[in-house]
Formats: sequence, structure tokens, C-alpha cells
Amino acid sequence: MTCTRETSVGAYILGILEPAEREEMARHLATCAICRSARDEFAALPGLLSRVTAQEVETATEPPGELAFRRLSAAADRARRLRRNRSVLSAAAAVLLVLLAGLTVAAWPDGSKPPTTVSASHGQVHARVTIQAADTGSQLTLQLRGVPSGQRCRLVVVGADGQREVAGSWTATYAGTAEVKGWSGLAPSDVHRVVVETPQGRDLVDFPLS
Amino acid sequence: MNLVGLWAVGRVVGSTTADDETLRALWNEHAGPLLAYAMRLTGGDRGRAEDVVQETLLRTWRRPPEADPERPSLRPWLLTVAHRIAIDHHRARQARPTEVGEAALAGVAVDDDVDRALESWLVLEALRSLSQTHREVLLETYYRDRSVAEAAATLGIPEGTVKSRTFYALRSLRVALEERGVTS
Ligand SMILES: [Zn+2]
Repeated sequence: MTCTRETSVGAYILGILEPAEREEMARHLATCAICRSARDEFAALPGLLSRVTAQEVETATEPPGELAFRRLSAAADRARRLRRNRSVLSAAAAVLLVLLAGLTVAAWPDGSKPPTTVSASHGQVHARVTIQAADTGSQLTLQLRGVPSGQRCRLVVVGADGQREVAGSWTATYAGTAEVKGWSGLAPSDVHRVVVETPQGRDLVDFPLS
Repeated sequence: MNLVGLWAVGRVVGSTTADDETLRALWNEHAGPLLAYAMRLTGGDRGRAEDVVQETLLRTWRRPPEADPERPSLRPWLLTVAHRIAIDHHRARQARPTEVGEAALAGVAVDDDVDRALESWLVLEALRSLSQTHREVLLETYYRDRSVAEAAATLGIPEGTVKSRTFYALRSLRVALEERGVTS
């Protein structure tokens, strides 16, 4: 059993028929079980369609490109190398300790969860960074003073293989202080250095961890 | 596909190839809907949204959640992780005094709970699974609010075809939603 008008039920449900045709369809529905059944079948769809926006549908049509996947793949490669090289490079990272003055490093037993706070000074600049295991990476909180006011700064996390991630960036206040929260995909135990640097790459403070 | 299981295979084999396949599978299955969700979280900023997607998938790949037979799908997890990452990014930006205005603009203004977000995800995924012509006709009629005549002109097809195509598109959509457990 079919009805020639059944294929108009979709347009009726979505409200895109011209007023005259819409009225006609409404009258037809009262007398045609086939079309009523199609209408019932579609009844919930407009509500569900309204759950996403036109922009989302357009974006979904064109999913993130291959380039974006390659970026992800490269990041995964870095993470993989990091896992492999961590033990080899931890000795090298320890050497960096020597380069710093006035530094205190809290103990960091591998695999432990509590937040780690490290302080460092370099000339006028004094800083304290707390690293905490976040969901699957690290949350960093940095307190900084003695930075030239208006100085653009970046908080950079360095992994064992030298992989660098910018965890946050900001501009120092007039008073030269800042409190910054940042995030890194590296787990606390994978973070070998935390550096505060200028966009030109000049280190303001360097926190080696081991 | 159970990606937690897939990941476990990758770990057991311990080979780079299996790891790569896991990442690819994660990407193919989740990147699209996750990007749409991340776009909401970032107020429509595609660059930031892609960053959120990347970090979400990377974290999931590195440390997948414990396999839970009760919840075989990774989605609730992915949504939650994406949400947290977006908030973290948002806070990091707020810490920059010069960008306060911008940060306020792209505020994480999502009050959707995970179930609601998940339903949107499924609708979007169902729409993605439709043929190009079916998706296109729904985009024109429902989302761009065009009448049959206007959609016919835009798509370059007869009005009768707009109607029948809409009908079959909705039918495919209903089936696609049912397959994903969305019935209401
Ligand atoms: Zn009928």
C-alpha cells in the first residue's frame, strides 16, 4: 500500500511546504493512514535535528583534515620517544641543576602524585612553580616577580628528549608580577625542565627537575 | 568498535604500527564529532577547537580510561576530557592581562551536561553517516530554513525532488539514529 503524497510528509514535518500545500497536507493526513504513519515515524526528528547547529553540520561534513591528523601523529611520536628515552636522558637533565643559583628542588619520587613546588631565581627574577598531575597531563601554576613590566613571557615545559610545549603565555603586569596557570600533556614525571622565557627565547628562569 | 580494546591490543603487541593504527582509529571515529563539540567549547574558534581535539585524543591515546564493560563507549570520557582541556586553555588565556577581552569573548559557556552533549554528538554522527545528497537537502531545508522552492533553486533540482529527497533523508536519519540508540 502506498500513497503518492507520502514523500511530501518529510517536507511537511520540517515545515517547508508553502502555506496552501501545508494546509492541504494537514487535511490529507486526517484521512490517510499511510501518511499518518510516516508523520509519526518522523515526529521526533525535528527536535533531534535542533540539537546541532547548521555550522556544526557543515563542519561535520568536512572533518578535521589529514594535516591535523599528522600533527596529532607527530605529537604521539614525541610522546613515544619520550617514554623510551626518559631514563637515558635523566642524567643529562641533572647536569642543568648546576647551572642555577639559589635553587631548591623538592623531592620528586617517580610516580608520586602530590603537587611538586619548585622555586628558582635568576638575577632579579624570582619564581615558584607548582606541578600537579592533571587528568592525563600536568597542571602548572607559576608565580613570578621581578620581570620587566609589560614583558611578554612564555611558560615552557621541556620533556626528556627536549620536546617543548608552551603551557601558557602572558604579559607581566606593571609591577612585574604574574600568576599563571598552564597545562601540559606531559605527566609530571615526564617533565624534565620548566622554563620561563621571552618570545625571543631568552630564559628568564629555568627550573630543572629530575 | 571498542577502542579501549583496540588500544590494549596495541600495548600488548607493543609495536609502533599497532599504536599508529590505534591513533588512526581514534581519529577516524571521533575527530569529527569531537571537533564540533570543541567548537562549542571555544565559542566557534576553529584553531582553538582543533587544539582541544588534538590534546583530547593524545591524552586518550597515551592514557586510555580503564575498560568498563558497563560503558563500552569512549565518548563520555572524550567529552569530559575535552571539556577540562578547554577550561584549562581558557584559564591559561585569562592569566594574560592583555587578552582579557578576548578570553571573555571565547568563554567556556557550555552548560550542557555530558548526556546532552552525547546526544548532540550522536545526532551529528548520524548526519555524517548520511549520503552527501541527503545531508545537503537537510542542511538546506531544516538548517538554512529554506522553503521547498528556495531549496530547489539552490540545489538545482525540481521541487518534487526536494520533497522526496527530504523524505528519504529523514528516513535514513531515523535509521541511523536508531542504530546509535537514539529513539526518542
Ligand atoms: Zn497519504
